[in-house]
Amino acid sequence: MMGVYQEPRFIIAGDSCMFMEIGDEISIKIHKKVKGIFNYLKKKKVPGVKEITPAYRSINVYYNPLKINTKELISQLKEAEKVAKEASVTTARRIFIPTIFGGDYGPDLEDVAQQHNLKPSKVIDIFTQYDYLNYFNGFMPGKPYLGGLPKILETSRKKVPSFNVRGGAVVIYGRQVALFGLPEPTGTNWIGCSPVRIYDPRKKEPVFLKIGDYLRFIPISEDKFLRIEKKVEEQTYKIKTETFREK
Amino acid sequence: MGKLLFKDGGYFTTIQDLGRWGSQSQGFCISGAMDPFALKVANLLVGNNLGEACLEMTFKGAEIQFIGDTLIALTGADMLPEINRKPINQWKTISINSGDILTLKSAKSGLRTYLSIKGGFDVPIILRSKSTTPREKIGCFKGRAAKKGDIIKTNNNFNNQKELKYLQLKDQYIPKYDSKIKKIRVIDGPYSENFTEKGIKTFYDSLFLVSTDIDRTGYRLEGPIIEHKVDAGRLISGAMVTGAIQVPGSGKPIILTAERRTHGGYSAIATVATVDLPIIAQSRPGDKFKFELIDLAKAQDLLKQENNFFKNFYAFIEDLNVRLFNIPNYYESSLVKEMEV
Repeated sequence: MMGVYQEPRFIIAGDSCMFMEIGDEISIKIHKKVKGIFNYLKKKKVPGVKEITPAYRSINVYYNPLKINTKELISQLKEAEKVAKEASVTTARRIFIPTIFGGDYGPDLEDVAQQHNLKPSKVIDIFTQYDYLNYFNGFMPGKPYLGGLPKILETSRKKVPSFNVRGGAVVIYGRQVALFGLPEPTGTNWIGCSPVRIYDPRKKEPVFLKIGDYLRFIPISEDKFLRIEKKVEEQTYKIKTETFREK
Repeated sequence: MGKLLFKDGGYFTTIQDLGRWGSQSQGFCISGAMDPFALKVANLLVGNNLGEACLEMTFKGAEIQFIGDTLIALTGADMLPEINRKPINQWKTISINSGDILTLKSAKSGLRTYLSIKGGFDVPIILRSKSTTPREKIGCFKGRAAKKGDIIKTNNNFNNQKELKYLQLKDQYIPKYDSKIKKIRVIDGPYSENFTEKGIKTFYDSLFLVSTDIDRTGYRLEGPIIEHKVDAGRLISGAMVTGAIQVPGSGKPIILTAERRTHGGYSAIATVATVDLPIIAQSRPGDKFKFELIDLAKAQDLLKQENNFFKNFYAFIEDLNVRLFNIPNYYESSLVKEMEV
């Protein structure tokens, strides 16, 4: 492991895509750089670049080779990397996700608790104390790749995957957390469920979460779950957020 | 305004354009036509912008009644089309009278057929695209395929087709899908360094069979095991690219196609040249692929040649009276601008 590379690696991925790889691990340091480069490129709108997609330690740049040659593209990306390096302190959003844990809303909670020799209520206590960083969205609309699960809750994937876990599901795997926008089959551990929709195709901006957001899960009762769910259905629920300066 | 009335939805019929570009960072896949070449030709034959949405019909086509006079074109796989039970040709402009019934059968060769209609379909535009993505529940019919009884409105307003002559793509430009062994041109990587020399040799020296496990997400291939160096070529999850030939732990390659996921974690041994993606789209189980390595400059040159073909499209068609068509300029068209940057 080297962490952040001295110079980004440019990897050819077909005739119309370039991968820009800036490190070789998952870390907040690398994430901040990825986020900086992504936001810079989004604002800059380099002619010939169709789309940019961030991940843990890389950014994919989809381009039209008839409008920008690879040499020019690489020089633009190198510049983006330099500029992003200089940006340091930024503000971030903390998003509060009401969540009900265990039972039918989180059938794997008991198992997870047993694996760690904890009571289910203790798992919830620990889980809801932390902020989870959204490294990027991907795989399904609006789905965050959340990191920051404490070591004490590190849980391996299940041997037998579950079919179509519902939208709103809160799951953990390894030291990661995810929140589902839509139902999907998964091998992750399903511990809770939020009535909030992070993906709502009825809305003009159907995806709620952004790269670099922090999520905090707030335990709620079934009553509250049902009340919020109804408001979400009627599109009158507002997700609680706050802004803070990131260290 | 016209209408299409589905008397039969066919095997899998959806609305597709050139894809939902610009939203992968929110988790949306690109989606769009599996065979963009056939889609573009279909559009130009009816005077549409080349990125307008078409019906993409897979394996077995639909039966459709048209309400309102219009023009259509059918391209891609040969589904033995008939209008009111009389055979018609594909890759040409077809005049439709209100009430006409179009019947398509199973594809005789190829797999996917495109139906364009003058003016395009009046369906929801979500995140700048009309493409249907069932997994994401977006597009026409909230993301499901067409079925019997469905109605789709069209944007056309067209009453004077009597004056028109018909456009037909010259035979030498019509792709042929019937060969059983298909040459697919590819570029090295990304992450081919995670395969052994033997693995790479296996990949380029062998024939790979298209399995029955194919859809708009990807094509699984059968063939000799491709050897990785370590850890089955697993990587830290990154964004992916259409055409990438990933090799998971099984050692059997998967070609990622239009509805691929945004992110994944496997090394790709090679990536299909963009101009050859239509060959994949029109392949069916039992066909065989032979991969041929080309360099980046060559692949980009092929793309340029294809672009020139579309720029000069109206020189490649027969029997035309183009003035009546008010041909959209490739670079001026706002829709194309959006699609192609």
